[in-house]
Amino acid sequence: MAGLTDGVFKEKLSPFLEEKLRILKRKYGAKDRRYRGLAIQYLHSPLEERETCEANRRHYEAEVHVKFQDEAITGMERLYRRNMVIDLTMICAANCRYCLRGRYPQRTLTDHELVQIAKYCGHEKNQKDLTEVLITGGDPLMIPIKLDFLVDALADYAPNIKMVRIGTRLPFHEPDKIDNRVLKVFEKHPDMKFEIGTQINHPIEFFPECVEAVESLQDMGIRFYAQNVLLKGVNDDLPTLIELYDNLRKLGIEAHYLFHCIPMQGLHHFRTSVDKGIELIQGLTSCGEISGRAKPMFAAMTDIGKITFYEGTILERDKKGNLLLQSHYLYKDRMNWNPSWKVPKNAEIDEYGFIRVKYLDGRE
Amino acid sequence: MYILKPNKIYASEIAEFLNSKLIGKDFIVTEPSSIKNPKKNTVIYAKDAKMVPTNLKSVLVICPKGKVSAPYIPSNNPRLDFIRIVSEFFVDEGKHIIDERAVIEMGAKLGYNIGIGVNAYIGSEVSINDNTIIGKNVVISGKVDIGKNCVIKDNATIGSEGFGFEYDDDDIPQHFPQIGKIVIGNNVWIGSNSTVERPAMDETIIEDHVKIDDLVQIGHNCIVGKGSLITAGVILCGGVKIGKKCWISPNVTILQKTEVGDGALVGMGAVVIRNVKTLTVVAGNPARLIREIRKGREKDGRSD
Repeated sequence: MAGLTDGVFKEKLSPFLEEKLRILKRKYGAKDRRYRGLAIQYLHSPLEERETCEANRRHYEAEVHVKFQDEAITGMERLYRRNMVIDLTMICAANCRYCLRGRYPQRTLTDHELVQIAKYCGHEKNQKDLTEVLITGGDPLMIPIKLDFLVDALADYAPNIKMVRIGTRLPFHEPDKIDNRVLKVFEKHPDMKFEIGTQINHPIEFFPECVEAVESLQDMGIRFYAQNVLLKGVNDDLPTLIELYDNLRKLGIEAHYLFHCIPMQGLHHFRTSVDKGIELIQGLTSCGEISGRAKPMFAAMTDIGKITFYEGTILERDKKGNLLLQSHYLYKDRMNWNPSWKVPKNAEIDEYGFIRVKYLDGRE
Repeated sequence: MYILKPNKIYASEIAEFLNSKLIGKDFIVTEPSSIKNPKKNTVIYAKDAKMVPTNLKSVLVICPKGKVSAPYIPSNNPRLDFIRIVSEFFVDEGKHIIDERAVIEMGAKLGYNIGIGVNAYIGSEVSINDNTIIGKNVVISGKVDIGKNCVIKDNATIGSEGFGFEYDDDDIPQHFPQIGKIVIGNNVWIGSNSTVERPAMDETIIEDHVKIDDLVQIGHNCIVGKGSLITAGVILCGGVKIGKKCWISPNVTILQKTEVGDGALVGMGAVVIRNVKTLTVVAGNPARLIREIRKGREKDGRSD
């Protein structure tokens, strides 16, 4: 969630995280797991520059290319029936080094573009299927006034949108910024249901300030869910995951997904193997140490969308380390929802019309 | 209304918000300040790069491209971009609260997130849409529809009986009952102590994005077109029609039933007694044509 300006995905920490890292380092030392659990996520590593088998600079393409009222609309992505993704801005308070969107071009949508998007979402042909939006980027809570404008526009032009999800890490990056201006966005539209998708990868991230920020949003009736990432050196061990998911449950954050780290350039050192992830998730779900209520789904974000690992998901493994994954996305559905979508080179349609995709495994 | 809300925001984030680029070193900006009195860790704007002082320390400048010694973000419209920055990052509008000392008559329709100040009066035939703020001591009576996101400042009076009289056979002025309606669009601003009069019949209309300054009188049956700006002390007599995106300067008086064309500029203190053509500048008493406004130069002569 960040975005490029000069072709370099720069190291960026929020003042809050800088301060916390300074304190953790002083208190526990640079080799301690609590310091490393946070530091590895944000500090640039020379390992990012190594040449590895993860060659893609951008993972998955789902941009919606449409002309609406004689204008090309930008800033929308669509992979699924009900949901439209709106990339409001690429500004983030801190840059997660393993960011899926770190190499997207820098852009903040203008008010005019937001109105066009809202009108498109509310267009007659979208009214039946499209019922929710995911507003992300970037971190939409960094610019609450613009976010407010977008939500107002959706309320005005797209009454079919009843669910608004927002992707943010701001409560954990800079909790001070969760102020009245942010909270105001959520109190104006009683007809809309708001959810916040966030990400917490290590138990150390539950600083009291962050917990307070989350609770102030929850007090507005917003439900939180976590889309965490399995990261080598951060949370690829069972005790850390147990503590993490216990803390999430205590704070009332739905566990939702634990993602395998994507195969993108510069992320090799973050990536465990898929098998390691499955082993950990089996440990987590069948260890008896943690409530089943707190368990996430282990999934990969592939070039065709999210695929959760179940028995039979991995169809084949080749010598180059690629896994062939079976999805249950129907090609014809996908084309209905987003006619500009193209089948990626590494994907194929099976005899039943479902899409299968190759996914580069990580290494231990 | 707005209060300063200090923030911690990187200059590069401000550049990203404007879809522009920071030229110079990145640093944390905490609040806005002015070019006359630039403070450390603030953002200022300048209309011209040449106006930027050379001794600035930790000050972010929004100005047109040029030779600037401080970190700066190039902008074609520095004032507009500065307004966007201040609104997005450095002010808080406060919570919209309906003060318990306000009087709201039965039958008044209020949308969501409305703010109504102390001692305001809202009549039974008034409808106020979402997110509108009504200031202190504001009186709104009669049939009045107010759109979304409007600001009605303290002491404004909307919907008071219009000034309509007719002499009878005994030379006694007889009042024409004003039973019409006032329609105010979305994002309209009405200044303190300004009045919008109820018409006898039909409607007084203030279209979307019209901004009316303090101490302005809008007579009965006036129509003010979308995006027009009416500055302090202006008097519009009954039935005046102002076009879209006009600029009416301070202390202008406009004779009843006169029309001002789209994009026109009426100069300070003018007394308008004849129709004003689209995209022209008029001034004086009585107002005369000064010049025509060329397309693309609509902003010339309009004050900050």
